[in-house]
Amino acid sequence: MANSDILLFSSSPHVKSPKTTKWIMLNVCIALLPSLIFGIIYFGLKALLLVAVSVLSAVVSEFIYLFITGKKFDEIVKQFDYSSCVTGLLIGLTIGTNYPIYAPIFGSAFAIIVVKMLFGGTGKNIVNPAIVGRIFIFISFQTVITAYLSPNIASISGKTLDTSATALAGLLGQDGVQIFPNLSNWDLFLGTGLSGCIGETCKLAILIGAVYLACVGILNILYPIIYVIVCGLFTVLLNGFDFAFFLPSILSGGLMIGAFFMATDYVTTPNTKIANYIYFFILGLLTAGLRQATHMEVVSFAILLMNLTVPIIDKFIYHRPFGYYKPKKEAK
Amino acid sequence: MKKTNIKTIAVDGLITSNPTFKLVLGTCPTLALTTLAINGIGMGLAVTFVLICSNLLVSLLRKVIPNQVRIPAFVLIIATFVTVVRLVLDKFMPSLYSALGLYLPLIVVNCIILARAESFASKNCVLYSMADGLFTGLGFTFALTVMGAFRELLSSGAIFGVKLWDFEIAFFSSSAGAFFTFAIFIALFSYIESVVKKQKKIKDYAELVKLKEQSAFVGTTEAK
Amino acid sequence: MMSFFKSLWFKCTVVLLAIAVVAGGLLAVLNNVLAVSDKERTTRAIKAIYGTEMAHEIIREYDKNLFAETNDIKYQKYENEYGEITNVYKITNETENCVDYLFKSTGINGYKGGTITLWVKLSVDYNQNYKITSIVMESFDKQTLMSKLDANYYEGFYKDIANEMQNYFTADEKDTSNTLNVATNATKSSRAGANAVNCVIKYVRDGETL
Repeated sequence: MANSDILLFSSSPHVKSPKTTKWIMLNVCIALLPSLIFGIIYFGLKALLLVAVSVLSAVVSEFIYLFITGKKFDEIVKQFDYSSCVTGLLIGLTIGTNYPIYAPIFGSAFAIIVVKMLFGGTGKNIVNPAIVGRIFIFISFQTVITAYLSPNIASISGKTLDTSATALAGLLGQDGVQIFPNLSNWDLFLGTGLSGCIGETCKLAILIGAVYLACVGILNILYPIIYVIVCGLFTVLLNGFDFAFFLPSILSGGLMIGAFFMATDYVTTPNTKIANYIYFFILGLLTAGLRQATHMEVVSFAILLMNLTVPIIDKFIYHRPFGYYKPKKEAK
Repeated sequence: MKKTNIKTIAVDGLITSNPTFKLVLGTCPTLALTTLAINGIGMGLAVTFVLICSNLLVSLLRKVIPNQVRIPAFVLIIATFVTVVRLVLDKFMPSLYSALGLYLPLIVVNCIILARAESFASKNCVLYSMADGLFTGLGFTFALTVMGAFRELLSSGAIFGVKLWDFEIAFFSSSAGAFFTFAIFIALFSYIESVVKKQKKIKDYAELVKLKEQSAFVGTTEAK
Repeated sequence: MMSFFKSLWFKCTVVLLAIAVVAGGLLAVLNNVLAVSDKERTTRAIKAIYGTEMAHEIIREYDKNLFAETNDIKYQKYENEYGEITNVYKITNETENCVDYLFKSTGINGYKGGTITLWVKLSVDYNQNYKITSIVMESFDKQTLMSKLDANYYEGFYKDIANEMQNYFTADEKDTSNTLNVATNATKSSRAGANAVNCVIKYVRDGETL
C-alpha cells in the first residue's frame, strides 16, 4: 500500500490539467462572493450569519458522515474538495433573512448527507444537493415564514414594493390577481428595494460571478443564457405576446441564481453539447409553464425535475465516434 | 424445510418477514396513515384483527374451498371481517374511524392479508394460522407505529398527541417525507438484522470450533 | 344427474354461495346491533361543536313516516335551490348569552352533482344579530379533494352576517374582490359546502320556524 504514493494508477486519458475538482469548486465559491457581499449590504449582518451557518453545517455534516463511515481525520481533510462549501453557500444565499437560524442547518445537513453522501459523494449525486436543501427548507419551514423582508437600500425609482409579496408573487398572480411590479427593471436588476432571498435579489452580482466563471473556463455561459431567454420568451407567449412581461419575469425570483449556479452543476447536466441545449431549453419551458400554472416560484422544482431526466437524455444523446455509421438492420 | 412452531412463526411475522420492512407489502396505508402514531396503532390493530379472523376461517375451510375459487372465497371472508371492523369502529371510536377514512375499507385488498391467507393459512392448521395472523399483524402494527411516532415527532413535535417541544419540520408530514421515512426505516431494520445475524454466525462458528476441538481430543485419546 | 352434483363448478358455486350467505347473515345481525342511530349522530355533532353534550330542543327533525301520519311540519324536510335542511335544533347557550341554532344542511351542486352535509351552528344574540360560529362536516357524497376543505375554508364562513342576512356565499375562483367568496382549489366541492351554508341563510330569511 505504501507504493501507492509513488506509483499512481489511473485510467486514460492521462492528461494533466490544473482543473481539479478542488480548483473548480474553489472558483465557484469565489464566484458566489459578489452575491454574498451584495446580500450583506442589502440585508445586514444577519445575512452573513445565515450563510456562514449554512456553509459550516454543510462542511461539518460531510465530516461527520465520513467519520461515521470509518474514515480517519487526515483522510477526510485530504479528500475535502470544497463542494460542500458550494452547496452550503447556495443554500444560504437562497433563503431570506427572516428565516430562523436552524433552517439552513437542517437544509444543509439534509442536502449533504441524504442527497450527496448517501449516493456516494461528490460527482455521484443524481440531483443537485443545494436544490434539494433549498426545497427541504421551503417545504419544512414555510409555516414559520410569512413574507420576505425588504432590503435596507431603497429603490432607485423611489417606489416601494408591497412588502407582503415579492415582485414575482405579484407578477404570477399569487393572490389571484396579476400585479405588475411597480419597480423599474433597473431596480429588479440591482435588487434595490426588492424583497427576496439573500443572494438572488442582486442580479448584477450573480452576473459578475457568472462572467468570472466563464472567464476561467468553468462555465459555458451559453447554457444558462438559453435557459433564461427561453423562460422569458415562453412567459411572454403564455401571456398573449405581451413583451412587457419579458424583463420582469427573468429579473424577478430565483431564476438568475438558479440558471447560473444551480442548473449548471457539472454532475447533474448532460454530457454532450446538443444534449445540454435540449436540457436547458426544456428547463426554460418547464420553469415558465409551471410558474404560470402554480402561481409560485418554481425554479428549484423545475431544476430538480430536469436533474432527474439527465440519465434519460444521456442515454439517447451521446457522442458518435468519428467515422461511425449506423449498422444496417438485417433484413428479415 | 423449516420446522413450523409458534416460535418460528413469531420470529417470522415480527422480524424476518416483517410485512412492512422486509416484504414491503401494504405500502399504501403505510405511506398515507403514518402521519400520527395513533393512526398507525389504529390501522395496525384493525389489520391484525382482520388477519387473525380471516386466517382462522381460511384455515378452517382450507379443505372445503376448491382450489379454483380460493381467491374469491378469501376475498369474501376478508371483506366480511373488514365490514365488521368498520361497523365496530364507527360505533365505538368515531374519531379513529374518520381518521382512517378510506383506508379502512381498503384493507380488503391489502396484500398482507391476502398473502398470509394464500401462503400460510391455506396450508397450515388452525392454531398456527391464528398465531401467524397475530404476529404478522403485530409486525405491521409495530412498523406503522414506529414510523408514525417518528413522523409525528418531527413534523409536529408531539408523540401520541403529547406535545414535547414547539419545533416542526413540515417536510415529514408531506408525502415526500413519508417515502423518506419509509426508506430510512427499511435501511435501519435491515442493518440491525444483518448485525444480529453476523453476531449469531460468529457465535455459531466459535461453538463449532469448540466442538471440533473436543472431538479431535476424543479421537486422539481413543487412538492411543 | 349425479355427475352434475359432483362436478367441480357445482362445488365451487355452493362453497362461494355458502360463504356469502353466512357472511351476509352475520353482517345483517351486526349491522342491526352496531348501527349508529340518527340521534347518536346528532349527539356526536353537538359534542364535536360544544365539547360536551348539550340539552337541545327539536325544531325540525325529518321523518317521512311520522310526517305522513301526523302532518306536522316539524317532521317535514325543508328544501330550496341551495339544498335541503333535515334537522334543526335550538340550544340556549348561557355562557355566551345567545341562542344557537344547529342546522343539518345538505348543499347540492358539488362535484358530479354530489352533495356535502354540514352541521352549521348559527348564533343569534339578543340584538337579533346572526353569526355562523361553527361548522362540522357530517358526510359528503361524490366529492373529491376533501382535504382542501380545511379549517381555513370553514373560517371563511364565520363572518358577521348581522341582522339582515342578505348575502349568500359564493365559491368562484376568479372572483377575488368579494369577501363572501370561499373558493378553494377544489372549486366544485367548495361550492357544495357554500350551498349548504346558503341553504341555512335562506331558511332564516324565508322566516321558517325557528
